[in-house]
Amino acid sequence: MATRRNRIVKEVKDRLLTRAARRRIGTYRAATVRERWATAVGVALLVALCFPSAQGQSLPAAHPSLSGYWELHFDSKNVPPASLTPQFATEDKSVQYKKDMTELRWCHFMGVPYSMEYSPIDILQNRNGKEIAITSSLRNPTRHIYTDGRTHVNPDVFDPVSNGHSIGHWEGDTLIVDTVGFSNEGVTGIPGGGRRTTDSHLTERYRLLDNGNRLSVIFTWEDPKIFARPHTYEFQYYRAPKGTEAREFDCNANDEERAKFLLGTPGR
Amino acid sequence: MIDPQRHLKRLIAIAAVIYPISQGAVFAQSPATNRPDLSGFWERKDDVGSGSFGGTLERIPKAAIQPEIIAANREAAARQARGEVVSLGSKWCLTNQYPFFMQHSAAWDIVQSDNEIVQVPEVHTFPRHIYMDGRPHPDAAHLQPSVNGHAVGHWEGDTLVVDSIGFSGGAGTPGGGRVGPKSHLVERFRLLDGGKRLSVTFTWEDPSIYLKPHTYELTYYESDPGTYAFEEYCHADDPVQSGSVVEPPQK
Repeated sequence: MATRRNRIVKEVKDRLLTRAARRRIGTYRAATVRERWATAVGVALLVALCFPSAQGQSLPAAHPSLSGYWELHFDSKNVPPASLTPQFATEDKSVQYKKDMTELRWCHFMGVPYSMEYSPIDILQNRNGKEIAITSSLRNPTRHIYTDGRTHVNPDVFDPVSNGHSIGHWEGDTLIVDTVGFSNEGVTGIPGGGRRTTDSHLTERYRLLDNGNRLSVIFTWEDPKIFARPHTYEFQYYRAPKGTEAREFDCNANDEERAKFLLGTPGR
Repeated sequence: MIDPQRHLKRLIAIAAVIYPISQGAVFAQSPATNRPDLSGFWERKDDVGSGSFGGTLERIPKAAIQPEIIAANREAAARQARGEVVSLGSKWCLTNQYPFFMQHSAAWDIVQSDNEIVQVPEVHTFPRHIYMDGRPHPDAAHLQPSVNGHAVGHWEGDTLVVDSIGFSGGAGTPGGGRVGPKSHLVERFRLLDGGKRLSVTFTWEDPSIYLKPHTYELTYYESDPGTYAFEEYCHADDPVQSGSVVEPPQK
């Protein structure tokens, strides 16, 4: 009898203890959950404080980096002959040649596409994703490619320039650059035939190849007065050795010897 | 109950891990990730003058320069006063030397990649390349003089410090100084006013020109969104341009 009573008392004590333990465990678990939530909120605040760029300012989407110096090599150009309009095909090409030489002689800005045939070119891709610049060693205006989503400037207010007005956007890993607003200034001849005019429209597609060691640029020119159909060619630039630097190839219009070399006369 | 002390200790430990990462101290391959963004178009405004920029430039302290440079400046001023031509730069659209475009009214553009920063002016000159990849200046045997000099930069906190040598020389500096082939320039670029203004402090050193380092500051204002670059028109074969300087008949 006593044994049975003792067993019952022990069982009750065990249950009570178990309940108390369970309550303690439950309290501990609840406290742990609260503490974890508090930690999570604290960590989130820390991240927000440590990485301010994540607050409000949108980081540019990850695009391939085209930045660096790029060289043309002997096998870089793949340029088929352009399909020209009959009107342009019958033009006197010596007039174009003389104009190009005169532009060189007087140190005018060369513009696109001449500057893209210079080697090396330096591409700088803004860290904020809003602009890309392309420079060369020529005393030529830098190409500004606006990648901030803007549209072309209204042609009613835009003064045409030798580089035109360029806007770009990314399609996957390819940078698409759209350029209009060209002037007649500079060396206007286009590889494969034809020339740039104020009506020309250029589309370029920039894409890295070979693990970033080469850069393919596919140029497509459209101009109903010059081309019977869009004229497309490709340059593949090679990444220049590390440490490559910009040079300054100056141009002095007051250089008599240079003027004689280019035009045969001082050309004043 | 949450143990506040234990919770705080845990957050401090986590912060000790997160903060260095946020400052780029852990990921050595992307040290420039959190540098100030200087990119965009910047332009000067004449805060104290009538718009001619004379007011701003006149406030720049006079450079302490060598007596022979003072004499040469006086002689050039006297020749100019007599109607003599002292520069044919505008007639021939010659290349502008640094730091000319930093004083010009035209906006200039900064494009900033991780390894290089370029300053792009509109006036007739070359873009200025600032190498940020840790390279040193070339040694004297390989240094090619250029209108913009050879410029290398690094960050000191939120300040871009640019060190330049190798100028071809010939330009003037605000305050009456000059740039020579031996000139050494240190510039400090720093954003002000939440990024709306950019302060550039120039310090020129050249014992052949200056008696002591010549320091001055210019402040630039962020251009309006949508600002785009122009191409300065200067054609030496344009009669208007070539007529900008008329050489007097030689005796």
